Amino acid sequence: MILPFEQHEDDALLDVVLISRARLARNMTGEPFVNRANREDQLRIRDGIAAALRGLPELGLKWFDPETAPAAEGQVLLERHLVSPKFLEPGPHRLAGYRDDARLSVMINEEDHLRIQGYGLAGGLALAWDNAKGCERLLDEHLNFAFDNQLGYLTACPTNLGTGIRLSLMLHLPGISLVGGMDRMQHAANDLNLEMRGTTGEGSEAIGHLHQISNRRTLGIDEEDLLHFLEEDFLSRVVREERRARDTLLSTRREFLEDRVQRALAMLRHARLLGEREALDLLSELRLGIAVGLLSGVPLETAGQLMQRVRSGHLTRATGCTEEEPLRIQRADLVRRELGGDTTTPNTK
Amino acid sequence: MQCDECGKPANVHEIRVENGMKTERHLCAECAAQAGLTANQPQIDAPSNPVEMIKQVLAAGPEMEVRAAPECPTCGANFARFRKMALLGCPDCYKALEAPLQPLILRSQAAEARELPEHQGLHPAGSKSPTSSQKTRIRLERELQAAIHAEQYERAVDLRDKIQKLSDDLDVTDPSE
Repeated sequence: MILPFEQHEDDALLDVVLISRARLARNMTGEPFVNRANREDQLRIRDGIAAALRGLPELGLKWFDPETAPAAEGQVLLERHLVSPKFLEPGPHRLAGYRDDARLSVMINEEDHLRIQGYGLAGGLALAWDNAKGCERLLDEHLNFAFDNQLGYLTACPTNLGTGIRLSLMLHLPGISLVGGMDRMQHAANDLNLEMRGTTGEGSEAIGHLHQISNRRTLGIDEEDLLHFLEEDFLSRVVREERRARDTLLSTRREFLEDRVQRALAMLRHARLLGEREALDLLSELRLGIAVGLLSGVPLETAGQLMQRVRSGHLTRATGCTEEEPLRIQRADLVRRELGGDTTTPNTK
Repeated sequence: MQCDECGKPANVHEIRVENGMKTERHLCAECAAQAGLTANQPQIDAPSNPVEMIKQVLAAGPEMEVRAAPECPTCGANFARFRKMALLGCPDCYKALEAPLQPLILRSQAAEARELPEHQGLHPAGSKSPTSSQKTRIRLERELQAAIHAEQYERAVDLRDKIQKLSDDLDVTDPSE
């Protein structure tokens, strides 16, 4: 089998889509689910799955053990969406594997014994699915997953039953948000049996106009059909609406939009202290400005990457700072440097 | 599990379905006796054989109670635990707790459908795809469970006969069944 990790990324939807992810839930047959497993069971399950994964060097995985690795490392993986918040909570014996290029990650003993996550960037839902499926099919030759002909793959929570698949998209929707269309978007998602959430998953609020959308139904619908449905019936519509909203703002309220974008740019280029939330909100405005052509000289990718690099975990890893104020200084420095901002030293008396 | 009335360990569990509405009560022996739960109403234990279950259901009539809430023989988890955690204990729980689980799965996965859709998508490479007769039998058995749960006795008897006929046919066509 040719692994899809090195496939070319299609960036046609880069102005709206930040991350595409396909997650597969699997459990070992004959073992209790993680929530009912004792410490001994957890170790046996973890080591069994890890051994199978280590026997597949073509996956190119690096390892992260939350019990022994520094917490900052876990935070970086969380910010890269390679592990979930639940995975980092104290609990069972766990282990994560991930590719450095962030095309694939696996979590062992999160809610299910195994969660395989494939990623694509903009418009890469099909690539995300290929990545997850490629890993799953290789493992299927070595592990016995709990499966029932009627119910499909058996998962700890019945909401994942069947394919065990959760397709999700991280979308940047400042246009729809600024024209007041988010409620309608929520309803549309709901009618299509899709879940719409804030930036970091369940129950979280939308920072920087970032929204996460995922399927609810997992039983009785083929993975490829679901993928097709999500792309054709939802994603293409959202992208069209978001672009239309941006065009409307540009043609009817150009100064309003320009003011927001230029203010954001000025703050980002001159601020000496930047909080995480503030930086993300400003970078979101900047990204919007670049996408609609009000700003040039900064590529869209740079704005997107900065939205990750200003997160606390990434900054701590890059600078060694852990205290709040030095982190705010470092964040402001990083952004000024990347955006060609003011680097003059202020006069001191 | 604790008694709904006094907080002591509960050992009498009442599941009542009336006009399609399900209610549950969990009581200790004393509170159950006070509530007159154990004295004068017909009770049955839930048998594993669906044909036996039907017989008992029909004998007990519409006022029947299932005394013991089902428990997974593999991991010991029961439905009360699932209601609290929204997580099952092991893969076998799906079979053991099928009756109370099924309406919930149906609601979360296919609210518009009357019966659970069958899995579509990836299979383990080693798994043998079932024949269409086997699939039909699995489907009918599930419908039978649902009919019993919803107290649709005429439909249940009809489904039982269909399953019996299908089993006879399978016996004729494939002696290894």
